[in-house]
Amino acid sequence: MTRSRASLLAEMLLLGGGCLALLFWIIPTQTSEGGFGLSPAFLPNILAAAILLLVLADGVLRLMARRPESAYPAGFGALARSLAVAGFGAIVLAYAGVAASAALTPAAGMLALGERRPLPVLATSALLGGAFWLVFR
Amino acid sequence: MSDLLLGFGDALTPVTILFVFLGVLLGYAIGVLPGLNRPAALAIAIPLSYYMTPLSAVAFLIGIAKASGAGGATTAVLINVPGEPNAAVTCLDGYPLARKGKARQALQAALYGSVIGDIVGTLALILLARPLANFALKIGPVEMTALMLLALTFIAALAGKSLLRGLAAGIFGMLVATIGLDIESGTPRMTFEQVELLDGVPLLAITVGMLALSEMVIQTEELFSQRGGAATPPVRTDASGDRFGWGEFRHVLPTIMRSSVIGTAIGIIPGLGPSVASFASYGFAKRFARPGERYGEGELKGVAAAETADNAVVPASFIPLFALGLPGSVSAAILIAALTVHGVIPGPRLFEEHGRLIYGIYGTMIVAALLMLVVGRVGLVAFAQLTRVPAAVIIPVVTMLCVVGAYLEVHSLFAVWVMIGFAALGYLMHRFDYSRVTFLIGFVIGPQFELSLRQTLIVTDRDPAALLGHPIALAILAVAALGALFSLRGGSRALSSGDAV
Repeated sequence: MTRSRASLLAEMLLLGGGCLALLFWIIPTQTSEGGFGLSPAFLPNILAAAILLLVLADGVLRLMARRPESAYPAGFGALARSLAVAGFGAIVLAYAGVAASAALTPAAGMLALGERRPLPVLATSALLGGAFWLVFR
Repeated sequence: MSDLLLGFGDALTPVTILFVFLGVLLGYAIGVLPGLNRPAALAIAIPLSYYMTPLSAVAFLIGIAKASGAGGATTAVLINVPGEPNAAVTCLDGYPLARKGKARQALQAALYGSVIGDIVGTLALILLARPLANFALKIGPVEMTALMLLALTFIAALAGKSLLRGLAAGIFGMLVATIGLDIESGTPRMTFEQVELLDGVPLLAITVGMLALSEMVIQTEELFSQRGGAATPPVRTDASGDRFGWGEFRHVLPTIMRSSVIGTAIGIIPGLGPSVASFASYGFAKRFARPGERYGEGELKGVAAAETADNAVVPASFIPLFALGLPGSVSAAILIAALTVHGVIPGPRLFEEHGRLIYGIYGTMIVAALLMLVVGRVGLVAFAQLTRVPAAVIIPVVTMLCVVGAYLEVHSLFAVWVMIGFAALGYLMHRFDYSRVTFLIGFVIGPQFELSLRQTLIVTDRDPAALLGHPIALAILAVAALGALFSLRGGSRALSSGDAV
């Protein structure tokens, strides 16, 4: 499976747009004049402009090359599940502490990855929860 | 001299040796576990080192960095799956050897090669870092700025598939490093009125998110895509006649010595990493093959060449780190995070300010090499059993360690959410071929780069013509430009493979 030119163009526009947002909106509103020496916005502006140039040059070269580029095979399911598990771990951490997070996050992760046998899930959960409880109680 | 003796004395205390041993044990296990690589292992291990002394923490991490490389050979030989990306070369001859009933020979050749390569790399570090640091103290900000640009160009060219995307990733890392208080005026910069960002984005949260949690996302993806596929059959390690004796050692020793030198030389150059070293060393071994040596079909020298160079790279890549403060590899960048947590800033002044610590680190590196030999020899069969741990257990456990580890740095949930955000960013960068490693190195050298750049602008009075008075800086910039041109012409693409640094 190869990437379409529209996909390459979208990548270039998205990143280029991000750089422009940095240059004309985020950096000016999020920095103030230091009063002396170089402006605090000096380096961020240079770096954002450099990224913009590199992204545009890369995009133009890839579009002009017309070489087929292989598309990334998977969707975003793995990202969504992994971040959901990590987010769940963070929420448990906030409300119930380190040991609870150490016990429940692996269990949630194993379930999200398709593990349905109760023994491995419960054993991993108990082992890690117990170990972290001993260390952080 | 007193620092040297005190440092080596510190390295030989029972507590330090214990932490090196624990690091080696953990590193070996992580190297064997499929899906976990050296950067991810180091990233999740940093939080474990919070409560240790600086030397114990570094000793622990060095043990992991060294042993995970050696452990990676186990899965390459036994199940034809490289535990580390750079162990892919080991598969070429390791697995055929195992299929012939010579798994133990292959594993021991890998182990002895790893230990010798590691010791040679460590000796190079001891001999070269101090003189290089002394030289670095004499160069000014103009040269230092040029040197950082050179390092970033090399790393960008070699860590991914495209120089332009690599540079964009590295510069983006530098941009993220500008978040926080401005170094000159002290005014907030891109902090979005978040108090937690006044000190900058937490380095550990970025490291763990970019390298460990995003790697778990990628592993999850691979797990889903592999389901239903046929697994490579594991081989046994107890075949009769599978002994690695003096004869076999003499057979591989010249290859090990040559590969040690190749690995060390490659390790010193920022950007070139274990993958490049393994491939280059294997290529040399193949080129100097004697009649009857059949590389790719189960040649012991092939395994030794790849593993020796892989392990020689790690200590050698610390030379630019200790001497110049420039992380030449991702392991070195993570070590910066660990040292920073303990209030130690790497750079040319390290030998003056923390001489005892540096010599202590040298001592622990030698101890780690010797312990790697012992642990590898004794635990050869036991570690092989770890290849059976399913990914559905490893991934959730590592995810939990990432969450808890990010939290423990400053006991703040903000760091956890930052870590999760950078994990998503890291995954997207991987997906669209923007090097995460270059981003991280850009982030690490960002503050030093800004300082040097500001000093350069003062020294040169913002006049580009003033650069003519700095011939060394001009020469360094010329090398960077030539490297970039070479890379743009595609010369380096054959060398780059995956997480090269």
